[in-house]
Amino acid sequence: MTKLRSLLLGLVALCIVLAHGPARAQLHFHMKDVETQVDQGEVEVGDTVHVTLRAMSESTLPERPDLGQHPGFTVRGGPSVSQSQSVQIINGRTSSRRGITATWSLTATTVGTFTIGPPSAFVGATKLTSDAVRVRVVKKGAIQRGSDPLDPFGGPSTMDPWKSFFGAPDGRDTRAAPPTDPALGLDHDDSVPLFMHATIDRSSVVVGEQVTYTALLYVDPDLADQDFIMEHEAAAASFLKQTLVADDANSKQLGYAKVRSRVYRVKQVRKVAFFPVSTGTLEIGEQEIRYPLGNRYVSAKTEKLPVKVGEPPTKGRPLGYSLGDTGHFELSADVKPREIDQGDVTAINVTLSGTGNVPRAALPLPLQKDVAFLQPELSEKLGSADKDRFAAVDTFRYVVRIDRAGDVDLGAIELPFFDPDRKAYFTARAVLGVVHVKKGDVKQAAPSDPNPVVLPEGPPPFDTLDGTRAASARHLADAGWFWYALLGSPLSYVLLKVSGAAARRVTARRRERAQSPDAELGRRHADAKAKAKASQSGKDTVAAVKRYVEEIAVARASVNVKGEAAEGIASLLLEGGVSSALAKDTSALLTACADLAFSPDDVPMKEAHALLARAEKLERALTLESRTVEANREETE
Amino acid sequence: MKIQKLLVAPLTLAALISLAATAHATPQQEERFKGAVASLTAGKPEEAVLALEALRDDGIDDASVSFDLGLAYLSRARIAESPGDLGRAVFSFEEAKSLTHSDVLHAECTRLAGEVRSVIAKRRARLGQPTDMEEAPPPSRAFSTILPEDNWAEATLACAALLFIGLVLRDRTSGRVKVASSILAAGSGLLIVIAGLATSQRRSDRLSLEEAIVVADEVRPTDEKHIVLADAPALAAGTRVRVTDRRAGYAEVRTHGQIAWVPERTILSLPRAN
Repeated sequence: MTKLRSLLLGLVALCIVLAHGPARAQLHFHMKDVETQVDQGEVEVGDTVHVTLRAMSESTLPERPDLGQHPGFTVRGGPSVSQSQSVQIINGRTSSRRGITATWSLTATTVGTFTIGPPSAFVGATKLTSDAVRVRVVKKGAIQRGSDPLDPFGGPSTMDPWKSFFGAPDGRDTRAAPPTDPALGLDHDDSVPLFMHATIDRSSVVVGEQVTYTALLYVDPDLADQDFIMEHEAAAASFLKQTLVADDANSKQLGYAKVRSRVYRVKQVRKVAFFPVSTGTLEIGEQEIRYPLGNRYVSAKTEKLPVKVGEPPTKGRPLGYSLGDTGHFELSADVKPREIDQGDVTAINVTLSGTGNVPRAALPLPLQKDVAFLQPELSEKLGSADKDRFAAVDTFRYVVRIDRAGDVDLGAIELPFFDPDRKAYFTARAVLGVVHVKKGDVKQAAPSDPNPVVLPEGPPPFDTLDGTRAASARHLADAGWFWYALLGSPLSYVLLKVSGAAARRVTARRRERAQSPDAELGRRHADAKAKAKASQSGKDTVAAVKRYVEEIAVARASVNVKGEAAEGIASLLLEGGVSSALAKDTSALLTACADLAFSPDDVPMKEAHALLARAEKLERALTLESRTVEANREETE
Repeated sequence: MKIQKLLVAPLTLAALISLAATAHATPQQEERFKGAVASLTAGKPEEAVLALEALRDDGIDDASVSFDLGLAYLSRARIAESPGDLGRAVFSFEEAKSLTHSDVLHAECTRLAGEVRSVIAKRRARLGQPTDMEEAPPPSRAFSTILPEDNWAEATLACAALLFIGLVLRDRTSGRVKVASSILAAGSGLLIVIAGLATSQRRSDRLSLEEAIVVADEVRPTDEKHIVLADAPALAAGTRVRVTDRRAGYAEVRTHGQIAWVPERTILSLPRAN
C-alpha cells in the first residue's frame, strides 16, 4: 500500500513537474527577453554613453520604456524607440514575438562609479524590469584612446549593433567611428541630424535614354534606425518611371559616409530608372520624407535635378523609328501552326526583350490584306540588369486570321531603336515566315455590330509626284506697285483735275496781264531800251535813250515828261513821288540827251553809250526807290 | 546697254531665288515614292505609311505624297485601325488639297476627307457625342474664297483703271456718254472696295491664318493652365481648328466659337495658302 501510495505520489509529482516545466521554461524565456546594454563601461567626464533596453513579448508590444535612475549622468537624448518582430518555427510550431529597442544617450557629469537603471517597460499592465548597469566615470584625459586593429567595429555584441559607434554623437569624437565609404561622402552641412541627397548617373541624355536616380538618406548614427514617412515621391512629369529594386517600400542600408567632419549612416531610399519622353531641360523634383525624432518629425528633401534631353541624331534614322525607342532590344517570334485552313487562325508569340525604354504599347505589325491580327495578350517581366539598367521581357501573343489561300508570307516584325551606348541606330527583327493556307470555305464571323460603320474604299494611289506647288509664289498684293497702282487711279484723276484747273488759271492770268496798261507801259519801256541798244548812229542812239528815259519816268513815276523843260521835268517827277536827287538826275539826263540830239555835229557812239549806261543806272535807282516806297507804304498800312 | 543690264540682273536673281525655294524630289526620293505606291497597291499599307511619312520628313511637300499617305492610313484602318489613323487620313487629304493646283485631285481630296469625317461622325453619334468637325468660316472669309488672291488683285486693278476712264470721260463728254461714264465710274468705285477688301482678306489669311486638323482620336480641351474644361465637348479626329498661339507643348485653338488649349502633338498644321 505504501509502495502504491509512493508510486501515486511519484506520478502526481511527475505530472506537476511536467505541467509546470514549460511554464517555468516560458518564464525563463520572458526573463531573457528584457535586456540592458551599455556601450562603454568606463568613460571620461563629458563623454556620452548609450544605454539600450531591449524588451520582447509574445503577446502585446512592450511600451512606456523607462531608464530609471541615472546619478552622475544627464540625459542628452532619448529614448529613441524602434520596433521589431521575429517569427520562429520550431518543430512545426510557430511563435511570433514583438519587441522594442529603446536607447538613451547620457552624458557623464561626475567622477565616480554609478549604477544606471534598472530600465523597464510595460507589457500591458505588467512591468518588465531589466538589470541595472554600472559605469565608471573618470576625469578627462584619464583613458588611453585607441582602437583594436583586429576589430574595426570595436567588437559589437550581437545584442547591440550600435556599441562601437555610439561614441561619436556629434561627429567630432571619432575614436570608434565605423569605416566610411568615400563614394557616399559629400560636402553638406553636417550640423543637421539627417538630410537627403539624390543623384543621377547622367545629366544629358536623348529621349528614351535611361537616367538612373538614387535617393539617399543620411542619418546621424546616434539616432535609432526607424521607419520614416514618405511625404512625396520625386515629381517627374516628363519621364516614364520604373523602379530598379524589387521591394521599393524597404530602404537599403548602404554603409557609412563622412560628411565634412561627421559620420552619417546612409540608406538608399529609392533607386529608379527615369526615361524622358520629351526634349528640353526637364526636372526631377524633390523627394521628401519625415523622420521621427523624439516626439516630433523632421522633414528632409532631396535636391531638384535638371536633365538635358535631346533627340537622337536624325542622320541614319531608320524608317519607322519611333522617338523614345531607346535602349537595346531583341525580337524573336514563334508561329504555330504553320498549316491552317483558309479563314482559320494561327498563333504568333513575339518576344521582345532588352534593356532601356522597352516599348510595351504595341509592335509595328506587317499588316496586309486578308491577314487580320487580333488584339494581342501581353505578359511582361520587369527588373534590372547589369549596371542598374532597366530590363524587360515582353511577350505578345497574337491570334492571326488568314482569309487567303496559298502560301502566305507574313513578313517580319521590325523595331528600329537607338542604342545610346553605341550611339547608333539598330533594328530588332523577327521573321514570321510563311504559313500554308489550304483553300476552303471562309467562315465569316458573325458581326458584333449589326450595322457597322464602313470605312470608304480609297481610289488607286497617284503614282507620279504632283509637283504643281510653287514653294513661294509671288502674289500681286505683295508687290508695292500693286498698291501704288490701286491708289494711283483716283489720285491721277484728282491730279489731272487740279493741274488742269491750275493751267487754266495761269493762262487766264497771263491773258489778263497782257491786256493791262501796266503791261503796255512795260512793253513800250522795253521797246525803247531795245532800240537804244540797237541803234547804229550816235544821234539815233541818243534819241532812243531820251525816249527810253521818258518811258522810265512814265513807268516808275507815272508822269509824262515829254516836251517839258528841265525845271518842269524835275517838278513833275517830284510830284510823282521821285526823290529830288533822282528827279534832278533824270532832268539832267533828259537835258543832255536833248542837247546832243539837236547838236549839228554827229554824236560819237561812245558818248551815246555813256548816256545809255546812265539811263540804265537811273532805271535801276528809280526801280529800287519805287520798291522801297511801296514796301514802306505796305508796312505803314 | 545699261538699261539691259539693269533689267537682267534682278530677273536672274528672281529666277535663282524661285528655283532655290522650290523643293524638287531627287531620283532616289522618286524611287522611294514609287516603292511606297507599290506597297500600297500590294495591300501593305504599313510599309507605305512609313515610306511616305519619311518622304514628308525629307521636306517633300507634294500633293501626291499627301494623298497617297491619306489612302495608306485609310487602308491601314480598314485592316487593323490604330489610334489616330482616321485623323491622319483626314489631315493628309486636307494637306493634299492645300498643296495641289489640280482640280481633279482637289475634288477627290474633298470627297475622301468628307467620307472619313462622316465615318468618325457616325461613330460619335452612336455614342451620343457631338459630331461637328468643320466650322463655317465667317462671311468675309467665305466670300473671299470665291476667287484666288491674285484674281481678286487683278480685278481690283481693272476696276481702278475703269474708274479712271469713267471719271475722265465724265468730265470731257456730255449727254448720254457723260451719264454712261458716271455709271461706269460709280460701279468701278464700288467694285474696287469689294475686290480690294477680298484681296486684303486673302492676303491676311495667307500670311497669318494657321489651320490644323485634330489627329488624335479624341482631345479634351483644356484652359490655359491645362486643366480640362468640364463643359467643353471633346474634339474629334478630323476636326479643323484655327491655331492662334503655341506655348510649352500646347496650342491655343479656336473652333465653333470655343477657345481652348490642346497638346500640340494631337494636331497637325495644314500648309498655309500659297
